[in-house]
Amino acid sequence: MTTLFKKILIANRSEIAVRVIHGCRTLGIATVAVYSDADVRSKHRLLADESVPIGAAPPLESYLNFDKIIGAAKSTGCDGLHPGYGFLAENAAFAERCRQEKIKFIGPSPASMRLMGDKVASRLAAAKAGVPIVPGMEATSDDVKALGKFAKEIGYPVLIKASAGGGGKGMRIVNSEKELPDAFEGARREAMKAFADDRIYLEKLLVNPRHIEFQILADEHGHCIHLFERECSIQRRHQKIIEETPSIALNPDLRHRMGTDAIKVAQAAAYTNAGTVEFLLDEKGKYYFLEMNTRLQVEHPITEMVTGVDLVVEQIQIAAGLKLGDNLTNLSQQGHAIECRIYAEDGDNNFLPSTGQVFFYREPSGPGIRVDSGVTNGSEVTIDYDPIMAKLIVHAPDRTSAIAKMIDALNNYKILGVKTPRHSLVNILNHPEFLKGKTFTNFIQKNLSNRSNNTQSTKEIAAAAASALALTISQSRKNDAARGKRSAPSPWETLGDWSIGRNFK
Amino acid sequence: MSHFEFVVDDSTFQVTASLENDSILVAVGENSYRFKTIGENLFQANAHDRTYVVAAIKRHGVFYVDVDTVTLEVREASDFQNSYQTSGHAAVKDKVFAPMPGKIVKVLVTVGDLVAEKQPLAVVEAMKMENQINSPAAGKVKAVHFSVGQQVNTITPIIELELDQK
Repeated sequence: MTTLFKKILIANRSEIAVRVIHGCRTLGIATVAVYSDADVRSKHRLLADESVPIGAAPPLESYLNFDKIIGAAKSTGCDGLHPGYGFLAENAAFAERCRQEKIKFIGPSPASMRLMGDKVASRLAAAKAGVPIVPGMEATSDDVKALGKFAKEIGYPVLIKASAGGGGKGMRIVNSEKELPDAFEGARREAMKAFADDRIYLEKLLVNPRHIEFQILADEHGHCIHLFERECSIQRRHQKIIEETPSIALNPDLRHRMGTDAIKVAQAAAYTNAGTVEFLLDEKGKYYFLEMNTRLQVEHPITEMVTGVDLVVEQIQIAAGLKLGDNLTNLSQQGHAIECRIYAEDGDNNFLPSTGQVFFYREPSGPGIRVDSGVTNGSEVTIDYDPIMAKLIVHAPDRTSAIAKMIDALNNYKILGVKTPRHSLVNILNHPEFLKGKTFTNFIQKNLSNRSNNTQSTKEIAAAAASALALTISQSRKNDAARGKRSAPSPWETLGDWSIGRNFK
Repeated sequence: MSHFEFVVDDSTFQVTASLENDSILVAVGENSYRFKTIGENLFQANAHDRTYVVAAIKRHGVFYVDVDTVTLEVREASDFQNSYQTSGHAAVKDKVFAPMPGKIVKVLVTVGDLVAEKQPLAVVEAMKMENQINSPAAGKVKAVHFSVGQQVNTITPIIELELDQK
């Protein structure tokens, strides 16, 4: 194979940077990591072939800083740049800058990003392509009265959304006219802070929808395919926490129609590279285009598990100008995959962020278990960045066995020092409604109680484990004492600088 | 055989542990556990007809334990007691604890007695030594929870006082 790229700079950090490094390795492409002052000892930096410091911890001074990232790419001779997700992944101006600097941005064109990044424009584009959209305003408005009038027409509850939105920011549910003014102000403030853009619009709020998205791959020669759906209905604070594929809610006919419409949306945006078209699916089986994410998704591994396609590898090949390969024809969904996001947050306390040092870390392993992680023993989790530490993905022949495998994998995932929602994840997976596949976006609010006390038997096992450890510690002290102080130091410890195969200066 | 007393959340556990070949046998009340070391700070425990993988690490005197998906902090009862007593809460002074687990050899007061600060209240034998337990404050004895010959831990008060109002 001719080399697609000489060297790829990964403009990201943590688990997704590590994931992209693996993709580059598969293709024999050298990697360059960038890291802020907070990430000097981070896993992604250590794993990359080269690494470049890009400044202070605040993202604007490092991971969001165009000049520093472009500078790092140029100084190391990179001809490709992978943005991961978050940070600059959906920044059209940055993609434009890469183009000017003759560094290939591994993602869609700036024009596609701009169109799909504007939630109002993307809705209109989808509607024009004949894809159903959620009833809502056709333009943004800064007039609370206009919003009120529109809300009355389509009926409460409604949803205020930021035109530049994403990740639940600048979003407000409005149940009645009375709530509108506060929600209006709040959404605008939040959108301004998050996106430096306070334009908002209003849509009908679908009650109890499922969140179903389709993975898209499109090459630069006009070919576009979908790689089936992912169901991402289990969310907290409008952010996904468990994803699975296939969705229990789709039959082959619905899957085909939604997949075809997803391709239509991508084509309407002249989309290239990997992307995701998100839909809401109501209880009657009607679906509506929600938005398109112009990047790799956090939950991409579950698609990889059931299709056998390495999406990062495909992204790189597409960016290098290759056509979609033969490996992508006649794809099917093999078995069932589930992903759980391991955030640094307290599942017993409203999923509030948790920071600190990970002083014990051990990942589960075994057939059908995959962990994409950005932390290791001793990693510091700070408030500077997104709290995702790792993603645990399982693959099994069917949904029931995938759930069982996930619970077992969570039980064998050991993290001490930073709180994680592993226990809440197990509670969700074990919940009768989840087992029945009744997964709607309000699942956590509806089914998960906030704080659970530790059971007496768990406490007892913890006390027993503490005694086992205490005994082990005292035993090893005794053994050390019996052996006396270590005998002579090893020559490796006393030897100074040395070298093999070159003249010592 | 080693004896431990641990506090987890609001529960106290008396634990005995001993080494047997490559296992550690642990007894807590009526339950017994067999721990095997499977890695640094990592154990496999057999109990209740199933196998648990348990991580445990000691930092700054606290045991941090991960059982299934739950993380817990385990403290030695004596440490817990010390921090409890030195926390400076006046409210603590109306309960009198043993400084270490042991056996009551003398109870020097009965309910209704008026006691002065530092007056001896009981004697506890531990590690073959007698330890006199003195009143932390002046007041009236409200309850005596133990009698001679009984084992005490450091979490359950031996005596409760009604403190003098100042």
